[in-house]
Amino acid sequence: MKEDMITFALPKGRLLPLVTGILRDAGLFRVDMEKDGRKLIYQDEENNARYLICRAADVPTFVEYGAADLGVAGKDVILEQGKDICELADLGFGKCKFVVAVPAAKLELYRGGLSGYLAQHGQLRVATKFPRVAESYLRSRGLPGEVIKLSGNIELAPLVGLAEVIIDLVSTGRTLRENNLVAIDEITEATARLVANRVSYRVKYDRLYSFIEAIKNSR
Amino acid sequence: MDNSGTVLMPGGVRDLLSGEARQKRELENNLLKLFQLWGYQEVVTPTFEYYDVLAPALGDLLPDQLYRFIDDRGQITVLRPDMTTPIARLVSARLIDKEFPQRLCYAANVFRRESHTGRQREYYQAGVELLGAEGPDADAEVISLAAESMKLGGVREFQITVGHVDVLAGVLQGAGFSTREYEQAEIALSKKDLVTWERLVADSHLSPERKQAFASLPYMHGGVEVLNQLAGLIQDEPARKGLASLCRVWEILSDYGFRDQVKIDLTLLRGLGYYTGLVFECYVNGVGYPVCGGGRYDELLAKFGYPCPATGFALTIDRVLEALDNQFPSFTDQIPDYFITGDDMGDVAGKAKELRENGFIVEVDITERPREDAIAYASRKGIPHILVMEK
Repeated sequence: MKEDMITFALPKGRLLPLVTGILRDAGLFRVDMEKDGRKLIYQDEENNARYLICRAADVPTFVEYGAADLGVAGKDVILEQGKDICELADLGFGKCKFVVAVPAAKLELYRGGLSGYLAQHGQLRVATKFPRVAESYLRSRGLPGEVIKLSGNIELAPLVGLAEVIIDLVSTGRTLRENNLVAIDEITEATARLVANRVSYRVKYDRLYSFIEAIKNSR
Repeated sequence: MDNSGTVLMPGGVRDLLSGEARQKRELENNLLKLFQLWGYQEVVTPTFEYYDVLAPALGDLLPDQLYRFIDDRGQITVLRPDMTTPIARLVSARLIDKEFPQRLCYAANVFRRESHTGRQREYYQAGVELLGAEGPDADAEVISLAAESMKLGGVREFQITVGHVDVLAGVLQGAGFSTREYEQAEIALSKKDLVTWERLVADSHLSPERKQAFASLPYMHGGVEVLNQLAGLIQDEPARKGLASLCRVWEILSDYGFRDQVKIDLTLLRGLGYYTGLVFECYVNGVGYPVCGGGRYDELLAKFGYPCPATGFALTIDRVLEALDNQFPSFTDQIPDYFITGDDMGDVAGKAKELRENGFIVEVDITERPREDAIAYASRKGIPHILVMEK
């Protein structure tokens, strides 16, 4: 292993083809995935780099600990995990947003927003897969509320009385509509980001900079 | 707690076994010796102190990052989360009659609560504090000593990145940000969130050329040429002074022979809120966190009632050991030079004493086992000299 090799953590799943596309356009990722598509590590001798295929939610972890120098992670994952990593560029794709949603049938109760609701009702429970995002949203608005962490199918919670509202990530909004939920507030938008380890960013600056420039230009 | 056969330990702490413990001790001893060569004197402060005394001086460390407990008088006490604050307390309370500048050093463990279980919570640090000296010469001394410490630790390749709080503040002021944008910019740069930084610059009222210059700030990373690039971005006096002192520090570091190891990067902002001037961190390839960090904290001692300029650094022993582990895998136990067994313990002890006085490591057989078992034990252990003292 050469000293200045770059290790790049890539998220598997829907973002992967988009990311490898950008990398290929930038002259990087000289790798034949077709040949052996199930490997977890791909070597790219030409660029003195290697690529790790990780779960999307694990990319920040690989990068924070320095097991990877660079990575691509969704802003949603970065916000939720609060990891100590550098966020270098917005890649623009993988767009989705965090929204606060309530059952359409109860929309009337939320005319005055969540604080309006709380003025009339005793409790506010928020079901979400993203407790950190939810807590910081509630805190920043001074809303007392209980955050209930679920692992999926968040839409169920308000339908069966587990929570009054949900905070979830939506891309098209179809799932909300199918479950008769309406967004009443948008927290923030999230797209794929190029991230780097804090130490690599400084120690391997010259090599990383050429990667970053190539990626920004091919975006 | 259900132990059911396993002995549990709290998350974030660990045992050091013999090889690693020896390496840590040697490193600490060597570092303290190095610090002494530069005129620094060791001090020891208590492991826990009153929360009310330390809390106002802990910068942006949050209360829940501290190990707090109630002592028998109902006072809140705290395990020290760093050594700089206790030493500032010590100097303000007990050493103000001594002549300044004072040079103090330490090797100690510090404790921080981390939100992730499993994340390290007890660290070993060695460091220095240079008190009562302002100006770039003092800054340069501390950085050079940090660089010497890295070398002495046996870390082959390392890099020191230097920034300056006042210069960065001057740059941000020059961008004409509102108070809110200024805060956002500071947070974005400290977190290296360049996406937010670029958006803030794009939304500012700067001219297109100035926008471009500001957007490239995080990419100004390198040697003395960066200082020239920065000169165009600042107007106010403290920033100009800061820039001049960065230049001077750069020259002194070059004189000490560290030109190639030092890089300037203004966006270096260290977490602890007490830094006021030049700040720096040391990195080693393959270790995901800074190995060493420090800087100037001219306002900290005033919090203990004694305003006094100061600068210093702390090196995290655990991370140096991690860097060394990457270079030379596996710690080994120390093997004694001699193993002595015999019929008469008096003879054995006499021989052992003689050898030890000559600096050999001697293990004496103190078991009642048959002689051949004792010899077999010593050979398995790889002890080169086995002495059998017969009557």
